[in-house]
Formats: sequence, C-alpha cells, structure tokens
Amino acid sequence: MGLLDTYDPGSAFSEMFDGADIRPHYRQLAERLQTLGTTDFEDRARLTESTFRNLGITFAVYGGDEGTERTWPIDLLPRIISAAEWTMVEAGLIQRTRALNAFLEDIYVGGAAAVRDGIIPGWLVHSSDGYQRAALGIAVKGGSRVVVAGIDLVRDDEGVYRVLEDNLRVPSGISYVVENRAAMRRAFPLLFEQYPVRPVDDYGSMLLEALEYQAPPGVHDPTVVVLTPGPFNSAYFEHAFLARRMGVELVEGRDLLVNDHVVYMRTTRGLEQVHVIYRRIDDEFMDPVVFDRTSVLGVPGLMAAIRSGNVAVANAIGNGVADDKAVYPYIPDLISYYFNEEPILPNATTYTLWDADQREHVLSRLDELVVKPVAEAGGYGIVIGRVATDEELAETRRNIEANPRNYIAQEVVELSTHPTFIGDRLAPRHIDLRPFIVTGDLTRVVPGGLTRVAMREGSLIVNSSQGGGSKDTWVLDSEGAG
Amino acid sequence: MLSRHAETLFWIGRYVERSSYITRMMDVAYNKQLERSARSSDEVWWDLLRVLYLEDDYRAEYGDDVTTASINRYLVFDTENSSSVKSSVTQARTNMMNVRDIVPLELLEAMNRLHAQLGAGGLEGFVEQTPHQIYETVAGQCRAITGAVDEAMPRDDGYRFLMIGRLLERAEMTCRMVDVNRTVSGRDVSSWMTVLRSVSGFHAFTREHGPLAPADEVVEFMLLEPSFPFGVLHCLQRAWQLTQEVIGAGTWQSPRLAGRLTADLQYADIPAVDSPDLEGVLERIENGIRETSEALHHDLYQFGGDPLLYSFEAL
Repeated sequence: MGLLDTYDPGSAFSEMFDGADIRPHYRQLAERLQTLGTTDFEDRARLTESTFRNLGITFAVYGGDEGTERTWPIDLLPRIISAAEWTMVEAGLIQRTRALNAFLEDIYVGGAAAVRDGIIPGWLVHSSDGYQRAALGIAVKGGSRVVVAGIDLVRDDEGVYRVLEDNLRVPSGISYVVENRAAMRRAFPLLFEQYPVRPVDDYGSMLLEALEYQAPPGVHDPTVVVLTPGPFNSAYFEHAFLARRMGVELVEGRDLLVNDHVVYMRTTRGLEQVHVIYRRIDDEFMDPVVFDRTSVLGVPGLMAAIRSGNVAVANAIGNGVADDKAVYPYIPDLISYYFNEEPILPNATTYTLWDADQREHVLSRLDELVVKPVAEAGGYGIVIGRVATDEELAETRRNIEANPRNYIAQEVVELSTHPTFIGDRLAPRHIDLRPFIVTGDLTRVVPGGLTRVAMREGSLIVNSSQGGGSKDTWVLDSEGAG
Repeated sequence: MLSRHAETLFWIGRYVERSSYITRMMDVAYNKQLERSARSSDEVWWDLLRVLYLEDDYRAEYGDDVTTASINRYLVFDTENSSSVKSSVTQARTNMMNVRDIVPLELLEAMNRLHAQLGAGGLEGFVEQTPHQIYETVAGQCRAITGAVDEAMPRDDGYRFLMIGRLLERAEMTCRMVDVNRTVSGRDVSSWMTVLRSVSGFHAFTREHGPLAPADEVVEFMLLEPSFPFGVLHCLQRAWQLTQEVIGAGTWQSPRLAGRLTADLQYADIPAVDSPDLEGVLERIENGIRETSEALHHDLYQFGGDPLLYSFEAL
C-alpha cells in the first residue's frame, strides 16, 4: 500500500491535491512516494537527524534550562512551487521590498512625503517602537535600507498568497533553507534527477555582493564582518553559517572598537579597519552611547562612525518602523503611492485598533479573530480567538482598551496544508513560507525560502520556537518538468 | 584572524589535549593497580589524584575510599569536577561552537561525536569492570579530532594557536606524568615502560636505549628527546617556533618566554629519578608554561586594550 492511499487532504487549501487529483507539479513526487514504505522514511529521517546533530545544526530555545539546544526539525517531504506561480510571487516580493525601502528612505532622509500627502499618519510613524530618531538624516547607499528582508507569506483557502508580516530588522532562517536542501540531497538524491530544482546555495555570494555594495565611497576591497550577540543567541548557528559562507569574520561587540569615528577589529596582526557590518543584533544594543547604555553587546561610538560615513551597517538602523504591525495595513497604499502600481501580493484582512469603529467591531468578534502585538516576533503574544479561553479573551480586551496602538486584529487565515510525515503516516499540516529578499544594487529573491510547518494537528503556529517544523522548498526551473 | 578566535582556538587545543592525556594517565594507573606490586591499588589512584591537584576535591565529594568505579566516575564523567574528561570535552566543545564559523566542518563533527559519546551514558556502564573501554573510546575520538585538525585546517594563525595550546598542555601533562610515576613506581623499569606505552613512546625508546634501560634514561627521554612527540622539549620547541610564526614582528612577550623556557630545559641537567631536585625541575617547567600562556593573552589584546577593561571605561 502506498503512503498516499489513505491521505485525506482536509478542508483547507492543499498544496499537493486539487480535490482528489494530484496537482501536476507534484505528480512525480507522488509516484516516488508510492514506491516508499514507512521504514524508508524513518531510516532517512534518522540519518538526517544524526547528521544535523553532528554538524551542530541546531537552534536555541529560550526559557527552560534542559535541552535548550534543539536539533533543527525537518520534514522530508518537500514543498514544491511551480515556475509560473513563483514568477508571480517573486515579482510581488520585489515590489513590496522596493516599497518598504522607499518608505524608510522617505521617513529618515526624504522629509516624510508619505506623511505630508496623508498616506499614513505621522503620529503612527513616530510612535512606533522601531522608529529611531538617531537614524534621522543618515543616508544609505542606493536607499537599500533593507538589505535582507524576510516577508512571511501564507496561502488562504482559495490558494491566494498573502503577506502576513514583514521582517525588516534581523530576519533569520536562510541558513536552514540551505541546510534543508543539503539534507534532502542526501536523503532523496534520485528525486533531484526528476525535478529541475532551482539552487539556493549561492546565498553567501548574493549577500556578500549586496553588503560590499554598501561600502563607503572610495573603498574598493571592503572588509565585511557579521556582528553577532554571541553563542547564546537563538540564531547563532545562522550567524556562523553566514560568516563561513561569505568567508568573513564573525565578530562580537567586544572584538570591535571605534577610534576617531573609524571602526576596527582586534586581530592577531593588530587593528584592522572594518567597512561594512552585517549586524544580527537589534538597534537598541548597537551602541551604548546612543541606545541602551547597559548593553555590552554593541560597540561604543558606532552610531557616530556610521553618521561619519566611515562604516555602513546592514540592515540600516530604524527599519522596525516599517515592519511595525500597525504600519503593515498601510503598505499596499504605500506601494501605489510610490510606484503608481497595484500591489501584486495582498495583505491579510487587518483591523487597526486605534480606530474607534474598527476597534468596536473587533471587540465584538474577539472570539473569531487573531490579535497580535505590533512589535513582537517569533509568534509570541498572539491570541487566536477561537482557541483562547474566556480569561485570555478578557485579558486581550483589557490590553486593547488600555493601549490600542499596541495591537492589530486579523481575520483568521486558514493556512494551506501539505502532506507531512507524522508518526508512521502522512497527514496534512498547515504551512507558511518565509522567502528572503536581498537588496544591493538590485533586488533579488532566493528561490523558495523557508517553509515552516505547524506540527500539531490543526495548529496555525509555525514558529520553530513554538515547536514548528520545516520543509525544503523547491522552486521549479521550468513548467515543462513540473 | 580575530584575537578572540585565536585565543578560543588556543583553549580548544588545551582542553582536547587535557581530556586525551587524562585518559592516558588513567590507563597507566589502572594497569598499575592491576599489578598489585609495591603499592596497594587505592594508593595508585591517590597518587594520580595528587598529581592532578584533585586529592582534596575528591575527598570532599567521595570520602576517603577510592574504587575503580568511583575514580572513573570522578575523573571521567563527573561534571562537578571541572578537571574531569567530560568537563574538559564540554569546555572544548563549547569553545568550538563559539568559533564554529572558522572551524572546518570535519573538526566540528569529530568534536560533536566525542561530546555525544560522553553524554549519552553508554560509556558509564564500563566504569567498574572494563574501564579501558572508556579510555580506548576517548583516545580514538581524540585521534579523530587531531586528524581533522591535521587534514582540514589551513595553516593560518588559527591553526598555530590551536597547536600552541595543544603543545603547552601536552608538555605540562608529560611533566605531571613523570611526576606521578616518580612517586608511584620509583625506579621500577616495567612501570616506566607502561608510561612510555601510554604516550606511544615505547617503541621509539627501545630502539634508542633497549627495553631494560634504567629509569633515569626514560625520564631524560621524556623530557629532552627532541624527536619524541610527547617529549617536553619537543613540545616546547614546536610551540616556541609557532609563536614566532604568528608574530612576525618583535612586539610580543610570549615568544621570548617560550624561547627562554625551551633553552633552559635544553641545557638543563636532569636529576636522578629519586633525587628531590627532579620535582623542582618539573615545577620550573610548569611555571614557565603558565607564564607563556598568560603572556599570549596579553599579546593578543595589546592593541586597543583589553576588551573587558575597554568596555568598562567606555561606560
């Protein structure tokens, strides 16, 4: 009996099935699955797990002291995206990223034309946690303030791709995209002969090129570094991965120092000047002179060095204002405003809670909607009305009434599902997609991205910090083979 | 290379060598106490604890009795004991994860394997009956790490610092090994042969001196033979050479200290095994190693000040 024989795709949009039929780009995979048994899958999954463990492909989970380092979870059934579908998604992501960059440039060095023209309220921009006055007037070469963006996409019950949130500060996950692919090649090498999968492992050179583009004028062979908070950060594996792939140093704040507005790193041969910093620490920890003065993660004097133009940091300071969830509802309008284009990728239906009418509407439907705090990431603080207890709903109501600016509400998006190996069989699980968009001279998208899986039945929470899994994501090169 | 990376690699070199060397010493002691010659079996273990400066710590935790099981548990698996094999391996592995961006994957993998084996609990079952299974496993995994270093690491400053760490640790441990056996076995030739065997030096020694050479010759061989990889002089000469390669210019203190230490030993008279002066010689070497190690830290951070001090000043 084949693994798919008893599979019931359920009611949500299925990536693999169209009713009882298998979608064309999944057919070869389905044929292969019919020849595999449960034990094949289990053996390969075990091998993959032990490879990941030996290579230390792990992530840290905060809270709870035992087992804080977990092996990265991958489900060995790949998610496949056809070439035509990807062309549309890619165009949408590039359009959105360009708009987000334009918006940030407008806010920090462009005189806030979008506010002047009434597209977005000025108070909303300035009250954002992510808005940094310290970044005002600091120009960024080519206006690429978002060098790396992670824009989370979901598919609704019609299969329409929608943007769920933008991550424009220090989005993580790309290392797992590359490692998942390597794992799939080891586990199912033959499948790659049948599918023309677009490669993802040139990310190092893609990122390095975009970072070198940011080098101060006149510097032709810039020294680039990756700045990490250190091994205790949950994404430390990724920081090391990126430094390794780019062939640059992975530095901590204490490895750097600023002298006369120039940044240096301490090396075995003395001090060496640094020109571009790909930082993976939050704004508030970058420079104790300007931000949190108790922070030892950053570098004293760094902001002054940036302002002097002797060093560039990516992503730029202050990007959080554009991924604030209360600003998110305005992004489609900003796309039309800056480019006079229709947004290719729609948002999820969202209610702004500082608006009295919308707030009333939301408070009357709390048990049906999803409420999110505007500045959190990683799935923290989200309340899903239909599974929340009465107490949680009451608390959410109090929170909203006390500080409506701090929350948004959204209609539930029934995320699409994908067959996933659970126990000894395949079962549908909800998934999302985090593609990575890199902007240097041009804006480019890594084919695919990180597909995250909610491993519990019916759950919509895909974050790895909350027990989510992942899948390798295949973008096909041409329609013919799919 | 970042100074922090260099220093971390130095400590990785030290910790890996320490874990491997402690298991070697335990192997020797274990075989020794099986022979039940002059000293009783628990005396052999006490002597080892004394040389590792762990006698009081052991007593505080395990009391006045020592058994094969308790000593193996304490020296190999006890994470409360910061000098145990498992503690050293954990330290080495943590350090390696902290510089994983510059460590070859082969090395990372070998390190994770050793760490996993000590952590999984499977080896702990051997503490009572067949502890040499533990020693063999650890030694084999350590050799895998050494091999990965040799094959996969580029010969840059990172490699040099890792090697300096390994060589200084090894020189120190060889001194201690001589010290243990001096107290435990005196002039007993067969036990000196066991010592040589545990550091892969038996064959080389017998080719030079024959199998029944007096203990004094073994001690001299272990301290002064320049071709013997575990020999103190060999390790110090290599370490000295590597510190010079790192620096190029002459602003560092550590090459000077390493050179002085090496020259001192090279031209030293080695006292007889039963002479109280031997202990003094060994102590002088150990002090010299500690001073060199401290000087390396200062050399690495001489530009731009010590990062810790710097961050306090800035705030």
